[in-house]
Amino acid sequence: MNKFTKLGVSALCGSLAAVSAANAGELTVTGGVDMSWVSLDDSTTGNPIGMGSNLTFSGSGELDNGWNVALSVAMLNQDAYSNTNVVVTVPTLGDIRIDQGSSGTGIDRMDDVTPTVWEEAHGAGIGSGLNTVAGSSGGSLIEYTPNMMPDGLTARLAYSPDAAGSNAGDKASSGMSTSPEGSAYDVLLVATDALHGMEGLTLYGGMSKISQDSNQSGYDGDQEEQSYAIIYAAGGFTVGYQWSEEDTGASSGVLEYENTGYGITFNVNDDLSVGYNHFESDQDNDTDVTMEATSYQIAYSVGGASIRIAEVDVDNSAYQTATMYDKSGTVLSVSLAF
Amino acid sequence: MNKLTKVGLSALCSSLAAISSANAGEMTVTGGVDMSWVSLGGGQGVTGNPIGIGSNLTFKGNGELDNGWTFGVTVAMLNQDAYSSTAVNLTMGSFGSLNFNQGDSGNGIDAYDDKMPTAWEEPWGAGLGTGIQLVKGVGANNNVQYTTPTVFGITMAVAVAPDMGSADVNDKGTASTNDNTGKGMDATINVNPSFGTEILSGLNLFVGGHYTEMYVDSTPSNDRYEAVGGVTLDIGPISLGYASSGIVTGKTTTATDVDWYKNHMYGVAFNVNDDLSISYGDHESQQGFVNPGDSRESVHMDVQSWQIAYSMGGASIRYAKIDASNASYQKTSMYDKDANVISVSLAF
Repeated sequence: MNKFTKLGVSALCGSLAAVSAANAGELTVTGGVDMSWVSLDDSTTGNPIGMGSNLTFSGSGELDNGWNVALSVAMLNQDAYSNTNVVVTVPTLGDIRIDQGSSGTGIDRMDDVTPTVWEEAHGAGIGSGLNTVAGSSGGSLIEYTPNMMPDGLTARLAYSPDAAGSNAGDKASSGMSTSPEGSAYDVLLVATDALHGMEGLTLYGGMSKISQDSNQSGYDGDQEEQSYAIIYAAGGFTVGYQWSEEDTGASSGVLEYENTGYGITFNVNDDLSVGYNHFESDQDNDTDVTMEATSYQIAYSVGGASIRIAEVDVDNSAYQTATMYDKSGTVLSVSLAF
Repeated sequence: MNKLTKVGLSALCSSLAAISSANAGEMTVTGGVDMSWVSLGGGQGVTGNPIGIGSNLTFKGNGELDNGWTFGVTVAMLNQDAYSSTAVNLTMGSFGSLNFNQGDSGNGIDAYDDKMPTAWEEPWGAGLGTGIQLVKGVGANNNVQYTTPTVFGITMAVAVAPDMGSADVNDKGTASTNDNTGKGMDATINVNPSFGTEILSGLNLFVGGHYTEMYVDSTPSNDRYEAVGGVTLDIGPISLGYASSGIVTGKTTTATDVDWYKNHMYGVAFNVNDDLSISYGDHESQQGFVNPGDSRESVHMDVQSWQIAYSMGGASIRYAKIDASNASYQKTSMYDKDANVISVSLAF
């Protein structure tokens, strides 16, 4: 129970914003809903109607010393907790982000950056079980984005003391984990035309290393990931290619994943866009398996609403070769943003 | 199901407001985040990932009825959007107030579990798990509390939970348990005997009691009783406090059952200036058994904490050094623990 907490509330504008001099800033909420109709070709669809609600509470403000702070608390479908993060902007250093539960830090920022008009081929409604690079994002972490980099170059450094640790509340730690994973760090670089001079070209490069207890059965090394991507936008077209690799550090079972993906999109006008996206993942196991996901997509926006259609094919989903793991279907989605 | 509810939305001021003439009042949201780095020592074991993040959101509504009575509604979520509590407070002018409470710990004797002054948190609540037993009364159950107006510095409250130990249920629902607990009742008195003097304006005396009705069937036992009494004093920048509390569990037959707890606590806090404060607190808890044989001597747990807190605008930085001996009422050396906790909080 806090004893000296200073809290003030005002009801300015008769609304939900609440601020006082002792608060760091204002808190607002945004959100929306995504409604979908999924039709599977060769398996039982069941009820095709899907609905995803999301709420994000955001706050921002400036401290007495001139540092800026921003808070985001996000909930996904059915009010399921998603993520909390705080970004502290120190004028001469850059951004320091303390993050819990998200997948948007470190190398995980570029798990799949190939262009799409809506979703990745493996994320548009047909479950694929694809393994992508995730780096240190599994546990609560700290990400640093320095602001003294050359123009056009963004660097992000992420560190997690225990990548397998559960998300602990304040005044708590995750405790012992049975996972072999220990501390982890990610490095991510993004270069735009302000650095290399070629307008429309964006280059990505990232690596991650998670220390692992090699004394634990089934592991003989650290987990290492790397990913590179090149994206080029010209006129209404955007094309991109990405390659990534994960060395699991295991001594048996799945030893490695190697992923390649590419996509092309075309903005017909300000509201309508079409795209094609393909992603392929090789799993190095006792029996090697290649999973492929391909999707054609159309997206149309009308104000705060968006309508999307995706035709999706997935072969060997979840890295399984039986016929039932070859899936395809059509997904219609309507979203509203508030 | 409401059939004639009228709802109107306005987006004035680009914020979260939702109001219409059919609504009882306004809703606001506040929240914040607490980030901590915990370093465990002693017999505690593995720290794991030391980063902890606690997010909290509180939705509040308030309004006024046609007869002039005012009301407030609070719905609170804690870490990772976990539901915490809902409370409705009805202020009836000079008749005092009624509070309907679900899941909170703010009613009855639970509000006095540890009111010792601190710069940040109680010694047992700053990041080192101790398993300490405190008075809680009806606070953890659906309950209703009546609070009198403050007269001559005296405020009294009575809280009732119709069935202790039952789960919190939604509206139009009921809950029952097959355990041996029945209704519970708390009564508390807080006295601020300033007598118009400056030096006594910071003096608070409080006392409270609780009982839980126990049914005697397969597990013979008596009613459960809890009590607390203490004093706090603010003199300028210094705050002092001392309190004692006790629990009689009502268990009588099984030798290894806990019969009672006795707690003593004190704390001192000093506000160096408007932003910086320091404190020291100690909370001692003794556990006794139904049959205190050779292997069941009473156990003393002791938790101490030094704390420093610094605020700058909406941000607060806190540090706590915590030592606990015989945590969880266990005597082996692994239950002698210590921790260093650094916390940063932002309020919005």
